[in-house]
Amino acid sequence: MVGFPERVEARARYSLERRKHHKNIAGRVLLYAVLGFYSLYVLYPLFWVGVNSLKDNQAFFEQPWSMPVNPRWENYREAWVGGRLGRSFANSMVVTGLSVLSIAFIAPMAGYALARLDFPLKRPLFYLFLSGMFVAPVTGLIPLVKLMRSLGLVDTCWTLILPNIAYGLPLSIFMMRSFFVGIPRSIDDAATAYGLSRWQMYWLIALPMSVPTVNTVAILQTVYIWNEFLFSLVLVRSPERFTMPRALMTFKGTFITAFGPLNAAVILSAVPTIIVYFVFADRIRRGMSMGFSAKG
Amino acid sequence: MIGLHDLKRKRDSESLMGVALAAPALLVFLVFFVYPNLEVAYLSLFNWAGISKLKTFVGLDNYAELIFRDEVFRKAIVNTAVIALQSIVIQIPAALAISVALNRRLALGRLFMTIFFLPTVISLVATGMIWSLMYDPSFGSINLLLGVLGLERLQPAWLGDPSTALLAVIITINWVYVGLYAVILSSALKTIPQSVFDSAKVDGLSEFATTVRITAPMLREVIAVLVVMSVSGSFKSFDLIWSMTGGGPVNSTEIVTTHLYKMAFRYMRSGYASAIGVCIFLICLAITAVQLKAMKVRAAGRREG
Repeated sequence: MVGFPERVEARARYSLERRKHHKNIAGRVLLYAVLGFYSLYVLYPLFWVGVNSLKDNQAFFEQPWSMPVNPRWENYREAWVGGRLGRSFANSMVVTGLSVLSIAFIAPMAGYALARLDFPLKRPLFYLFLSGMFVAPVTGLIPLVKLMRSLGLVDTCWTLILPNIAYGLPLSIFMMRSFFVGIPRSIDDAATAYGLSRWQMYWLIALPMSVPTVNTVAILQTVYIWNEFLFSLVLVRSPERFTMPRALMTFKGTFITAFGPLNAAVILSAVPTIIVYFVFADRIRRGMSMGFSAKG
Repeated sequence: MIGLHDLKRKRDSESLMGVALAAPALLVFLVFFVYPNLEVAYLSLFNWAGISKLKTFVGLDNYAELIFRDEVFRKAIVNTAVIALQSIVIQIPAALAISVALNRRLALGRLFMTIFFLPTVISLVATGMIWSLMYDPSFGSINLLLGVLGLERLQPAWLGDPSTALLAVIITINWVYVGLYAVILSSALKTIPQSVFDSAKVDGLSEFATTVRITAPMLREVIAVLVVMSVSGSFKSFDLIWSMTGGGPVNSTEIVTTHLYKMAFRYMRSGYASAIGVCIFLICLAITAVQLKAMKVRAAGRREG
């Protein structure tokens, strides 16, 4: 038979557990409510742009809360062809592609030299590259315009590619160097024992090992350079050469009353990086956190 | 036996390869980063319209005007400081709260993380346009929503009104960065052992008390980095405000970078704008120096501990 004190204790413990259980559920509900509300804050503007990209002006003004009844896919065509976003999309592909390829080629080389090789002025060189992460792109803007003009590069794709490479290099070199520092020395010794030269060691051993890091660097720079706006604003004159963000800005001026195509243009400019993000979410999150803590 | 000669030759070949591998990156970096950032200091000493060949040397006059006579620059510094300050007192605590919530191994944790980070990958120009449409007084969702909630009196012109424009811009800035900070903080949170939180619970600490008194102090290194980075980020940012307000109305959202841009490319005062550039450079340098010092202190502390 269970004595009185034990019974009380058991009942007390039972009610305590129950209360805790309730508190847990309440806590969870609150937690999901807060996170859900924040998700709404993040997603609603994007959702709203998506919905409006399929409306005509009448629906846009008269039924602000409803879904598009007859989705107007022509809005996208109008933005792409009429707003000449197709052209800018291609320009962005060329600029981003060539910049990222160049960075992916030369950043590992410099990163390897800084991590594994001894040469004069190595430390100052490292700090010089590092300084690139802390300087605002706007600072050197005026001399950059002057430089591009005197090189005769204004309105060519190089006027964006070269500064994009220069400003993308510091973080990329920093990430590559961190990777190469971590390769054990014993691998160098083994490679030497097999009779590999220094150059072969880089091209045949170290570089292939670094492919995942090179990929992260490339993905990250793809997002940054695709979204780059400031250089494109001051270094490009001809609308034929605009990249996406710049074209979007102009689009706003000319299509200010055509809300469907305007919203479609926003979606078209954002879709490539969103796709890249959904495919490489973890890499981008890790890389951007690293990039941010190093770069701002 | 390896002779001294061989050793020297070996070292020479290593140096040669190091220089050769670093050379392409160095070349591009020197020409398109280092050179412009040095030349700006030289150009800041001139009265120069940018396009013309004609430059007049004016010494430090540009700086004197900037510091003593430029009201807009003063306004821009104040606005930039407000944005930096709010990132410390609003963004980072909000991000910390979200990261603590995400640390609870929720079933939908990864989904939330994916959503919160999403704005970070969208171009700031597109973000600015999305929010400009949202803020529009006649058809924007925000005022429509306020209307539905019966708050018709509380329907400001947002970006069109100098008294609300900065607030509106800040709401958008937070939309972009809180998620990024939350992701950074939650990856740092994962390094704190669960036993710490368990013992806090045993000691009867509430969730809030645990976050404020235990979690935040344990993350102070990461938080310090975020503080420094968001402050220097405020002095570097341009795209978002440019696409939302262009610094207006009546300079109410002017920041140092938009002021520089207007001086150089709208008012054709490239020498003067270069002086602004030098100021931004010096501010970023000072912030970085503080950060490097903090990191050094941290590294020293780690060695002792």
